[in-house]
Amino acid sequence: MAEVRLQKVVKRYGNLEIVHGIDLDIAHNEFVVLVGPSGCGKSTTLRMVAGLEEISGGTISIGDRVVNDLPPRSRNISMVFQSYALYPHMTVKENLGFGLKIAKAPEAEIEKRVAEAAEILGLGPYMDRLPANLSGGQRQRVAMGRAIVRNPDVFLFDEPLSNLDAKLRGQMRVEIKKLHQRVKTTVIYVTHDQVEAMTLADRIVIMRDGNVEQVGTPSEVFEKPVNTFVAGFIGSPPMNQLDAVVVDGGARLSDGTIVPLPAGLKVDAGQEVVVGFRTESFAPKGHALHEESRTITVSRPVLIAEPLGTETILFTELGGKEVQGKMLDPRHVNSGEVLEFTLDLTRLHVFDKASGKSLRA
Amino acid sequence: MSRQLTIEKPWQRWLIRLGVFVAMVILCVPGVWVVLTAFRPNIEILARPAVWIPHELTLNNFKGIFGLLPTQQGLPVAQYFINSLVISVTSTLVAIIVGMAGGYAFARYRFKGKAALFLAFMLSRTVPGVALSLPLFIVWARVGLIDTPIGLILVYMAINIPFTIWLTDGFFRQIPVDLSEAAQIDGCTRWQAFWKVEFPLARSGLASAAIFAFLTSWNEYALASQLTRTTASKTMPVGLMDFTAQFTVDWTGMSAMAVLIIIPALVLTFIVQKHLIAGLTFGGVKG
Repeated sequence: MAEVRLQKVVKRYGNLEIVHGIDLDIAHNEFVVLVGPSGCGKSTTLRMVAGLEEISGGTISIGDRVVNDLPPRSRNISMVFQSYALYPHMTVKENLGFGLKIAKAPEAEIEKRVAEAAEILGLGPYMDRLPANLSGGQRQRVAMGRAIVRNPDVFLFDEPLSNLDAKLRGQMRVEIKKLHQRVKTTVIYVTHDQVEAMTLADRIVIMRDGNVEQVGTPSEVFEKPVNTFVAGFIGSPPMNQLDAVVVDGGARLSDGTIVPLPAGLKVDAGQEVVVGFRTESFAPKGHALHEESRTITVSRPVLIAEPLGTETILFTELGGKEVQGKMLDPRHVNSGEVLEFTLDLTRLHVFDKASGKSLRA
Repeated sequence: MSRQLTIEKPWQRWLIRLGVFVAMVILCVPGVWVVLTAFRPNIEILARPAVWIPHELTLNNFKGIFGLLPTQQGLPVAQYFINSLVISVTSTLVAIIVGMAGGYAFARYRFKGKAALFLAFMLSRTVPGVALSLPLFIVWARVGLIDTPIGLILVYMAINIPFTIWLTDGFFRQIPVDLSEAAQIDGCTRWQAFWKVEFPLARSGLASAAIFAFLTSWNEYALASQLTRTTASKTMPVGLMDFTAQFTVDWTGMSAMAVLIIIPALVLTFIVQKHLIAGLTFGGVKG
């Protein structure tokens, strides 16, 4: 059993505190993704779990052991680095078996486990090559192989896919997911790519400036973002966010449009709020995802249309800001063409402007 | 630059070759002349006008310095050779071990005064060794290190260590920290991570550093001539001066001895040549 528990974990470099007391419980075999913009402390947090960075405050435990003062080798973890960090002077086989050799495992067992890992990752034909003679995807696989050979309690990934091109990244993402299904282990995965986070995670931890903003399943953080930051970070294209003032009958945008607010929302008249809606909730009539929902309709000229095949992203203006809508089952749209957009009110997000916090219960 | 060369006209190419040839002649002739002189009789060397193409080659000069000719007293060449070897090898080994540790520390650790210390090491290289010869002589005389191998070994260590630190720092810097971290996660102690991963990768760099250190010690003359007196510590280059008397210089013997000095250095350079090139182009060969 290897659950990982972070309690009030702090990281300081001199006087500069970059991780401000993180609390996080990761269940046995859970796949948790730490995601956030660069400099948010996600990699530092991962490196503290790995033992590559000292912990300035709080405790980290793996299983029932507090690992604060244990060196990396005593934590029974594996890590896949962004740079892969393969040993350049060793063949693929030697790279895979290195950890076991250091642990003085019997030769036969090393052979067996290396062969298993090679089989899982399809590395058979490359076993005698040096890392320099492998492609990016192959190196990535070797790095993962080296991690699974050791049979760790916790698997750590530090932006493992960011050095690959888009197509390969998609493939490797699926492979990582398959790997996790096959080799059941607790995984902590760091990325700045919200698509990776959404597709891989059992639970997502969204971080900003050394704080955890929200922890939840992919659908929770997508459907119920707790604040404007999470709302803007998760989902692609990002959620439209418009400033508004609460008036009788709804929220008034800066161009005078009144958007009726969901019933039961605790707002005061005159309160400044941010109204958020995803692109798929803002679509031309007849091209929306959910037709029967409660909606309002606005006529707007299309500024730019981005056809993506199954859908077209439409750029237009609402509340004095550029907003994006999504046209499903698209037809050709000329820029300048005026369309009737419907805004799905049941999927509206409302945030307090001052605190950025969601006002939806 | 090289692309431009390939589209140059033939006559331009020949001009470049001629330039290279002239440069090489200027560089090589003294060496060739020393080697030729070592194999020619005295009469031919001192002849006027000069004899450019040797008429006869002889090994007598070598026999002479080893005392194998009835007409000539030999020199303790073997003892000089041993002194040179002991002093150079020892100072090189120490310089490499200390320099490697120092270079690693500079490349990997953050500590107070790091930049200042590194600068100080580099500045020590700017002082010409000869400028220190008098103070060094006085101190060495006081502590009884004049005319001892240890005395010279200490001097050469002091010369070589800063340079070795500077060179190895550069090599370790080029090895990503990730590798050592990956090794530690794979179960290594920091020490094991160094020996199993970082050291093998820096090996060619260390080989380059070693050969530089060895050649510096092996060829050094100025300080050795001040600090040595007898066969107890005289090195090969100092031994060359045995061939000068008050009014005469035995050019044949001196050249023969010079050849004996060159040979080990040349052999060593050939042996580690592969490492040397790999070491000096380390950045380029990394995948």
